[in-house]
Amino acid sequence: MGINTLAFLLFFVFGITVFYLLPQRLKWPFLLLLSLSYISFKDIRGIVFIVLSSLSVFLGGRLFEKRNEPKDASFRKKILILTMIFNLGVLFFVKYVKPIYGAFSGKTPPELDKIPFFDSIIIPLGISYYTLQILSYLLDVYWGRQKAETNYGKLLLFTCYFPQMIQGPISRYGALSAEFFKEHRFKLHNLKFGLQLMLWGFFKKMVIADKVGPYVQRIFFSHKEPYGLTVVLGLIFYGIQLYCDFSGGIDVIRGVSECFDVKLAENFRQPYFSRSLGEFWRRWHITLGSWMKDYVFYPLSLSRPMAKFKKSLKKKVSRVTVNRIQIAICDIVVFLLVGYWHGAESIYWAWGLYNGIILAISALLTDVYAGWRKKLGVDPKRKLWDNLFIARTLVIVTVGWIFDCSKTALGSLNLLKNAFIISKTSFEPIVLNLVDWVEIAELIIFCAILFKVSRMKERGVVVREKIEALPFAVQVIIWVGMIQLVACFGRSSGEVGFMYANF
Amino acid sequence: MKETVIEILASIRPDVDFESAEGLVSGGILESFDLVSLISELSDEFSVTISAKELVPENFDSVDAIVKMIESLR
Repeated sequence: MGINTLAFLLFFVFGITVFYLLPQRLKWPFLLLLSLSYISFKDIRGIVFIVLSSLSVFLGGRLFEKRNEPKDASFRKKILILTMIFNLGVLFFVKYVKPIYGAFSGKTPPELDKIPFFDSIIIPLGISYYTLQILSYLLDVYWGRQKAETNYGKLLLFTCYFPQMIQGPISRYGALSAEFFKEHRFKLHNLKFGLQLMLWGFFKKMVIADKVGPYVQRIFFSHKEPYGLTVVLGLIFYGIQLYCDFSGGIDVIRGVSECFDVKLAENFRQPYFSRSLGEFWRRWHITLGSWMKDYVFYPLSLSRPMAKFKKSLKKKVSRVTVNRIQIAICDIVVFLLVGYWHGAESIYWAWGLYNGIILAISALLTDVYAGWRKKLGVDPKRKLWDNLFIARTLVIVTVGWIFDCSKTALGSLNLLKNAFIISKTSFEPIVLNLVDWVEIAELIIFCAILFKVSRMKERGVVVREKIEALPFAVQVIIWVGMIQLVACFGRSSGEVGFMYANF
Repeated sequence: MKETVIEILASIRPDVDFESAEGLVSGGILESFDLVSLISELSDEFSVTISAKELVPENFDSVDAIVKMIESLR
């Protein structure tokens, strides 16, 4: 049951109605029941995975609090490692065993599904997201940053809260539990803001992403190999599609949750306005980036092997250089892991390496870049330079999307090479076969609306409050206009799944 | 100790006035790279081990908070 289906709408209306009718003490148990029902709609076996994973971290957390003396350090560490191995092992088994075997045996996914052992492997709904969530809880309790939960049902709700099972965001227990277990009273503005955010998300997803998607498919995944400007245009289309699909889906999810008076973490902050690649990844899939920072980047930076490595370097190079080498290594490791989290295929490794290496180089060459900026008289506060930085980041990010536009890393590199081949036929497929000019004109208008709203947000305008302050008649026009836009221009040929639901 | 901490911070981010700054981490003034460099410098200067456990914004949000954390680790 995707969130852009009629079945979900009915489920949502039923859920909201009952939620606000119930007394306070029954509200969170009802959310738990609703979430478990949602999971069972997809595959009831998914519940077994969720119960076992959440139970493991629940028991782990309780043990950490009971055995908290210095003499227990080794025991606590063993429990931590075992619980992490169990949860990461389950994730690895369901998500990676099949593609890894496929890569070595040369078998395609449909062929693998016919093999008796592989045909029984299911990927439980939301496993990539909830595994990271519960590991963050486990580590926070281990480090003493979070008190262990004493009620298993509450931790189970944190693991399987239905809006975020599809594509995140990856929440932290401290923040989300405060939202779950506060007093919930029906407030019209929660419902209004929630529905508004859902509508905005559907606009991005159904009116823009689902319309751009077929162009991307035809350019990169048809029989004809694209060249020159076709590749460039395909990459721009893909950048728009991915952003609108993923952030639109997150808007819908956050909107649904807001209607239940549960605010979820922000996952996007106008990433295409970033001035550097590092900033881009702090504004795109924010909750995954901050998870990686807190539970991989910092622990790796502060680990004993890293300290030893730094000590060995200090005799050869300056302290500042040692710090930069440390950051560069951690960047590459983090991005390889982010790539691996997306999937076992070579494109994800290549994507991780591409981003990790660029960030590592920029960390290592900080002084060189500063020298260049001084020589060129770069003033980041001036509009011209600011726009140039944004444009440079856009180019770097857009080139990086090439790894999503092929089935293999080598295929992606081949596409990149093709982008520089300008032949007579390089633009022909688009002009002659691909483009429905009316649809392109519509898309330009819709993207302009998206750009305008994003720029307002970038300037600190809280759009929902701005709308709220408008005269009632204007508000009605905006609401009706948005509903009409989604209803009339949203892709009508059936439900299109979310791209990030596949991870 | 406070002066040394300010000196270290200023060497990492010369553009910030650390005497009065608050919300260094929660306010996004210090980025993860700055924080890793800062921890490295603090560990060397004051011979303390700062582990992942200490990595919460409250310990790094101001010069006073950093000084307090170092004192508790010594």
